[in-house]
Amino acid sequence: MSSGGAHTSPRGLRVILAAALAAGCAPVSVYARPITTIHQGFTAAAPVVRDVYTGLNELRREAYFTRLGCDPSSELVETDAEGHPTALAHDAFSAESIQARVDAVELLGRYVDRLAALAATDPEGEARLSEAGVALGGNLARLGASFASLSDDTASSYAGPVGQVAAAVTRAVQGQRRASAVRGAILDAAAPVRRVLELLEADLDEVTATVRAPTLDGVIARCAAWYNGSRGRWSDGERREALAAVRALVARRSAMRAQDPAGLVRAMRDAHEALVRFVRAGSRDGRDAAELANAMEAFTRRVEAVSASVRDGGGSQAARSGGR
Amino acid sequence: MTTRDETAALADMVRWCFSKSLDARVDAAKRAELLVLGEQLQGRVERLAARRFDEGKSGFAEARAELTATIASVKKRQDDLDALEGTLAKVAAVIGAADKLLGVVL
Repeated sequence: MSSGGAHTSPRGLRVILAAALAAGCAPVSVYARPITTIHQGFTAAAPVVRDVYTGLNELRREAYFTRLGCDPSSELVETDAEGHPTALAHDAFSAESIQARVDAVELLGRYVDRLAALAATDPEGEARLSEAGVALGGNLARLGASFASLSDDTASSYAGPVGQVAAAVTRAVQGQRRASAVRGAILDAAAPVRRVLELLEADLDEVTATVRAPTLDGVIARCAAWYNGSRGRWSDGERREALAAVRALVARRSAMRAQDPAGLVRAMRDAHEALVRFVRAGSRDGRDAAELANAMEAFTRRVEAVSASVRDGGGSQAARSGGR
Repeated sequence: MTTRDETAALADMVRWCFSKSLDARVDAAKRAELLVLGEQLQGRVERLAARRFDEGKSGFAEARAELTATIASVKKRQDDLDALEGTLAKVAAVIGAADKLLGVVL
């Protein structure tokens, strides 16, 4: 995540929140920094989600070809003997399904952007707030319709809460009084935002447990069986080459086990919950303010860590493991 | 509704199959069988994970109960390598039960 001008240090955030609370008031500006932090994190999350799902498609395709390479009896086919499509011509997650999940995260980003514009007191924020909400409303309506039409069963469960967040964004756009509009929009959208994040977290946990880990285990088992069955016929050089290939797969599996894509969503959820609690407490409770500052700090760290790990594909750790 | 619990249990079973296919205490024929069963089961896991089911659909409750029962019967025997032959037959039954559940159309 960027650490440019809009980035707020945890200490800076604490000072801002403490100053607002010491003054015994809850001006709209008290929300601006934490909302900006959340917005940065949510914006960073969308490409990570896309990377996770496209990475899974690539992993399955790679596993399919590796398996064929280790098993001369297997044919390269688009449909297997049981009538199921293979990874040669079929992705486990279609482009539309991936886009639906990315859209859900981007919608949350747009929702938080709207909050940021409402909470901003600078000229740029004023300009953003004065933008017509018509285009935004149109985009959100189309988003709801596209979710409803998805053939992917699990992705279509996002349709309901996504529509509710969209409605809350529209209401926030129409808000007149800034501070109450920010508070209202946060509380109004709390339940559907929570639901979208729950769906996303469950999705990511499930694909990690059911697709990613077993796929790599299967490839390693297939390659090991190939090695065990062929090693007597190979030269020392061929054996070492095959062992190096299996070792690289094992290193990659270790790196992937260390990744936690759903951790990104848990960080988003924690940050969102801290913001909701802060607003519910009327922004006057010092304990909630401290909790909000801590949650933002943890959120920023986790977004950076998970983003780097997923983009890297665990490569740096694989390099460390494989280099031993 | 989804069948997350069953899907997660099946994913564990897939990993058990692959792990036992690399266990030197298991004879070569059974290790080869475990590898194939693991790969077949993995295909079912992916298809189940992508599906939502209509709880009220005729045949769903029975198919789900059968899958749950066959998974439980495998779990009971997983640590007993002496009973592996019977366990492999149970894993094959789990694949059949998963196919039956996948056959319940929305």
